[in-house]
Amino acid sequence: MVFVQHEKMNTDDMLQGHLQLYHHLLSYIKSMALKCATELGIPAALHRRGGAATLADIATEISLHQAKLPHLRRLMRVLTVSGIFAIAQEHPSSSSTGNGEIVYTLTAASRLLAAGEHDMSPMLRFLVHPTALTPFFSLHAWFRAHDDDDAGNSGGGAAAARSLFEMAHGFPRWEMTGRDAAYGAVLSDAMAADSRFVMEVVMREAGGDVFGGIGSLVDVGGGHGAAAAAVAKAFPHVKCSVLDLPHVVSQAPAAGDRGNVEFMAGDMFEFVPPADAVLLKYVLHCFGDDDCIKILRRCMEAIPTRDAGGKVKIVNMVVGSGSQENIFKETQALFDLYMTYIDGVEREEKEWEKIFFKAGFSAYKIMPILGFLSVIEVYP
Amino acid sequence: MSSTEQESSTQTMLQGHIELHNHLYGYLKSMALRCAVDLGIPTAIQRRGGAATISDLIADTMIHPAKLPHLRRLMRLLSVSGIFSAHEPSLANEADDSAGDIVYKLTPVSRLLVVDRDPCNMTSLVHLVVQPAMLTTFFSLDAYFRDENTSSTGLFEMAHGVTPWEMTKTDSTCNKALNDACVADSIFLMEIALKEGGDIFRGLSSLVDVGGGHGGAAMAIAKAFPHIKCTVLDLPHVISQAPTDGTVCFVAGDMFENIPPADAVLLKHVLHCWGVDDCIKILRQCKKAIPARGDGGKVILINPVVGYGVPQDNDVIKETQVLADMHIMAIGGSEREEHEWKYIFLEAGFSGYQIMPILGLMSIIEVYP
Repeated sequence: MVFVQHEKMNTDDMLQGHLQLYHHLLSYIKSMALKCATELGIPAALHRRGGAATLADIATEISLHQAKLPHLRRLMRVLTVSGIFAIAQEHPSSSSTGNGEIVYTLTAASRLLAAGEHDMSPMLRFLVHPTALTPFFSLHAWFRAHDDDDAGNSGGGAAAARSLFEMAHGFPRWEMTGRDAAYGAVLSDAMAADSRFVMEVVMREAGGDVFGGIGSLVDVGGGHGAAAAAVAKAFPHVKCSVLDLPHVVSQAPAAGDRGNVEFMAGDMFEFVPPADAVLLKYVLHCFGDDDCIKILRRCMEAIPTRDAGGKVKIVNMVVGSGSQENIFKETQALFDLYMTYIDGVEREEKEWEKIFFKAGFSAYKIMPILGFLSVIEVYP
Repeated sequence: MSSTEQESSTQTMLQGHIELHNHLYGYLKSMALRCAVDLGIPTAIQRRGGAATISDLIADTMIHPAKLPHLRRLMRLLSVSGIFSAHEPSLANEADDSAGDIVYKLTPVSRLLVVDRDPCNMTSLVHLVVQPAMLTTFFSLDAYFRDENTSSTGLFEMAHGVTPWEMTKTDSTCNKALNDACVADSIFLMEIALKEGGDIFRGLSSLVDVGGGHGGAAMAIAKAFPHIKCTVLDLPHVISQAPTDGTVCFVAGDMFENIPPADAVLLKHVLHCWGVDDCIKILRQCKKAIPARGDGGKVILINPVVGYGVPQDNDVIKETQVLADMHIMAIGGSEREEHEWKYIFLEAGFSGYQIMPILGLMSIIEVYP
């Protein structure tokens, strides 16, 4: 196809481009509106009302001042048009305007923000957070950063090699939880909420395959143990433990609340305690290939041979696996760009295969059972 | 399956999961687009004849070569979401060194972001909409809802301590960003408005563009209809920075106090910045400036009319209009449905109106005294 330079656009293309431009630029309003609705407790309010409520009901439930009702209506309009809430058939009218009162209902997405086991609002709070968002204004500068850049680089590393997080905040992300306890809490609550959700789905879809037949499991980088606790509860015969850094393990739930999980402080780059299987949930995507290979080799040392049932289970994205509907492809691409800011990386199958084999593993199996995420079993 | 079972079925959970995540990451779409514009990627593709590989882009945009994998990831996102189009390598062209690389091309969106584009490009709109001051404002949204202070501090003021108009007065970067974006958007929309709705301006001998900024719209009208005497009314600190080509007269003033007389008043992207009472005040001033309906007097609005004339299968228009409504809520404005516009027109003493939804997202509304 030959492209003619300075070809004039016809009116339809101009209007289409204009519309899509505004739509794309305003995408952040979706994140912010959803965050606001969650902080105000709107999904929970709808849930308390049995899943359906009018604007007035919602305002009462969340103790909203009368003066803000028109704004609430506009917030609900955005979130209804974009599919977070839905509208049931309107009430037969009792009002003098003759218009029915709109009844708002929950959808699959907003049900995950109402209270309960599947409450993902801690994840929302973590992902739509100034700490995560503001560095992306520096993204173009990060792309262009060269080693002879000056720009207050006190980290000692070459400017071109600094993560986006570090460029924006002045220190690497792993220092953040130490400097800001509130942020640390947001992060660990998010990981715990996500673990509960993910493990529930894994148990339902493939629990027996993944966790049946093992006597012990170590969750490497398992944080405060929500994933390990889920396994221990569903499979009481499996001895579950968590390995994480000392400052993480020291904040883990007290003995009574641990759900039969043992916590061990240590460094996965040095030593992984022996077990039949190792769980690596959301760990390897934080690291480049060389570090992943190091971690995987430590895991290999911890587990028995393939014949004896040894395996590593990874929960992470396999880019390009699972549904190829646009929303899945787009969400995978979004998550991948998000991980850029801490120098993380989401991998396609061939990239996973490369690091598995370099670490000495012989085979793997991808189970795309978690929507845009997968469970990968890797065998020594 | 009972509804309770269905509610918590794995299928429903996973559907909710993907929709939630896609929604949460909305801000990354805004930021990724801004980044591509700041790196000059649309222009680079255009200058390569409309198609470029990742290596071409690295060479043309001063991106550090070590960031190549990351650029690939950025381009993947922007291609999946329709800003660029990605084409798998063609095996037919063996002479091409980069035969193995994906080729990126422009789409209608990115074509508007090529800096060489005539008569204008939309990069200034990107800088206005996706700027730190606007994004961070929305982190205060839930506090704004909780605020029971009856002196009604706006969202922007709550986040920044000053009103947006005060900020444009004191911060020249902010002022420039706003004016540049308005000029670009005006030139763009007027090109279409004059082509598709030129009859609106025929028969006028004079027009005043109220809140006309740096005259993008007025100059376009004056050029298409040289016999129409075009005037721009705006605040002193806006007019003082306006470049002029001699075709348009600039008047410093306050639309709440006095509007210079003309056959018609143009209000482009003005009324959506203001609440109902202020809109009525402005329109009453407009009515004083124009002749009677019988003598051809009218007000011409260019603004979205939420949900009006939107084809059933086009969710994007309505979604964009309601997102724009939430966005402008930050500065105390509103995007309105037809019945809300009608209320304002009648309260301001106008007798009738006609909506022409010919500008995609926006409509042209003629309002008659």
